[in-house]
Amino acid sequence: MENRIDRLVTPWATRTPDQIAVDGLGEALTYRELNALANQFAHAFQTTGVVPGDRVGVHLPRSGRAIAAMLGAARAGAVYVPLDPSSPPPRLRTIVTDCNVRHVVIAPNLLGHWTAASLCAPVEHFFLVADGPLPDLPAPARAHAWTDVLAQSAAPLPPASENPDELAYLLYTSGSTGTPKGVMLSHRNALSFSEWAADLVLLAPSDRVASVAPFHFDLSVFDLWATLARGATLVIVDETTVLSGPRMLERITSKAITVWYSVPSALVLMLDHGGLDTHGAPSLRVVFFAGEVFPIKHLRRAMTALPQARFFNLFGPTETNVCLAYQVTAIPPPDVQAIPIGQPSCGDEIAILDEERRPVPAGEVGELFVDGPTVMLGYWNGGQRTPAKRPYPTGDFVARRSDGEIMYHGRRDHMVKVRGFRIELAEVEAALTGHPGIREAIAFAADGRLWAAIQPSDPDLSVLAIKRHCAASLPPYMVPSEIKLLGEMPRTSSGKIDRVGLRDTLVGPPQPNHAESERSRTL
Amino acid sequence: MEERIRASIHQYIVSTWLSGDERGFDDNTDLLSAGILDSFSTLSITAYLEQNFQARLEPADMNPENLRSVNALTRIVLSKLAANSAASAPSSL
Repeated sequence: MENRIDRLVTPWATRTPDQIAVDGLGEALTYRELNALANQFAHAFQTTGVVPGDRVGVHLPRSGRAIAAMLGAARAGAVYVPLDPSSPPPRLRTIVTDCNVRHVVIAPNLLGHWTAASLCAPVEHFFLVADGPLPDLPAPARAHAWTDVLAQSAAPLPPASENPDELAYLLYTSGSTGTPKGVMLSHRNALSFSEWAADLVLLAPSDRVASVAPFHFDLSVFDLWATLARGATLVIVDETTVLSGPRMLERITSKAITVWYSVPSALVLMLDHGGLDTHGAPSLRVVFFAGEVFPIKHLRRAMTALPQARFFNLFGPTETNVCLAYQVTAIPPPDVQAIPIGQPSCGDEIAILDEERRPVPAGEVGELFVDGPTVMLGYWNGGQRTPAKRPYPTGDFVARRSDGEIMYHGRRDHMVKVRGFRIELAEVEAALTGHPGIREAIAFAADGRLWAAIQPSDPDLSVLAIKRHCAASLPPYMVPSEIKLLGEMPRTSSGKIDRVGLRDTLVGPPQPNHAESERSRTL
Repeated sequence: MEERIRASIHQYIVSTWLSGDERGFDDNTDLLSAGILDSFSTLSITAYLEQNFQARLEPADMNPENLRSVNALTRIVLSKLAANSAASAPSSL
């Protein structure tokens, strides 16, 4: 087993050079080609001043070239920073300034993001990944043509390092404040998860793994590095395809995808609009889901539609990647309300602690703490590097069931107080999505009241019916006061429901100076 | 009078507690099982009745039976108004 990302592809370039490594939109790269292109990128970075530890931005749609650039950065000893192609310029500026990115690999059509807002600083080198005229950039920034990269040697560089605990990539997450902060992840972090997951499902060169999650989202770590570690083929399900249920299902079928890892929403989209219920997808043998709670009624539908597939609920914040996992071995019976998040994975150890950091008795809810090989190195934030607390406090509430399985009880920041009552938003959301006429639901507290935003699947569903349904299973203080029916949920670029955006749209942005708690106290 | 009070309470509950969605709601709808009544909304509804109809409600009036529906709330307002005018009649003479 390799212990650094930069080494993953090399053995397969010798063993199975003509096997497709990345099957992208309009371009497929074999292991030989991917390996050579990664070396060319590494040389291009090195000759333009990249030294080990430097950050290299990758501002590209998901593609073989983007993966070659990330691999090339790792081979030059650098740290790759995936930049979301759908991100607005101010956010890009925050990220490249925060971690001082001087080199960016970019699709020519994304350059406008940078030049229009004249936000090139601190970036000095843009590497275009397609032919075309070189843009005029404000000095000292300059552009390098695609042919300049291809003109580099494809010979390997001497290994930049042997140390698996060095920083490999930064994933910027929004955090509760909305200011992006960089989660620092090492080669060991990535590979302890990828190897564990690959072993779990016996990932083999014959597998065709879907790439659904954006590269700046931690779900993609499996897609990229487990696939390439095992000499399998990564099939890109591109950014527009993931917005359409029918097109996603068509991609699975036509490419005979065998392994799928996404947020539950993508599967729900294929169930509701893609025909997954009726057509199934016989090629799929493994379905991983993570990132948000899978409403159990939709999970039952997915398992019914894909009887041949193994289903796994993976759990963990970006800071620990996957630290718990649960295989859903049978369709949950009707009386089951929630499935476990399972047992520690990837060699991690967990503890469930109360507010005084004492272990809670079995069955009681406490905060999940994690230590082990997947726990991040720390945060890169405001130009500062802060080491991770160990064990890492996840901010997630969990409890150990009598059979030893861990159950999820929501986020610390989703635990709200409304008029003195502690309310777990996940519990309200689970009650809401239990209604057959509700597709998705988000609960939040604002203005001293409990709100629910609901996307109905039944157009005749009334607010009264929703309240009545809640009142039948929840105490009165957990029945949302404000219920808003929406045609569609706003989503983040990672496909999850955009909670912050939703709240801001419905209520307006939160007031400064803790106005929230003030107001709820006066009510 | 009675119809005006009923319509006003109906409108208040629909706009404040049902996000304006009137579907399925009528003046006999059970407010408790509809998830509309809790300790907070009970206070708000009381305040609304007192402000708009000058009906002084005692804590004892706020029992589940009187709060059960728009019709029940209308009845309690009417009975309070009747009691008020009966009580105030002698002093105005």
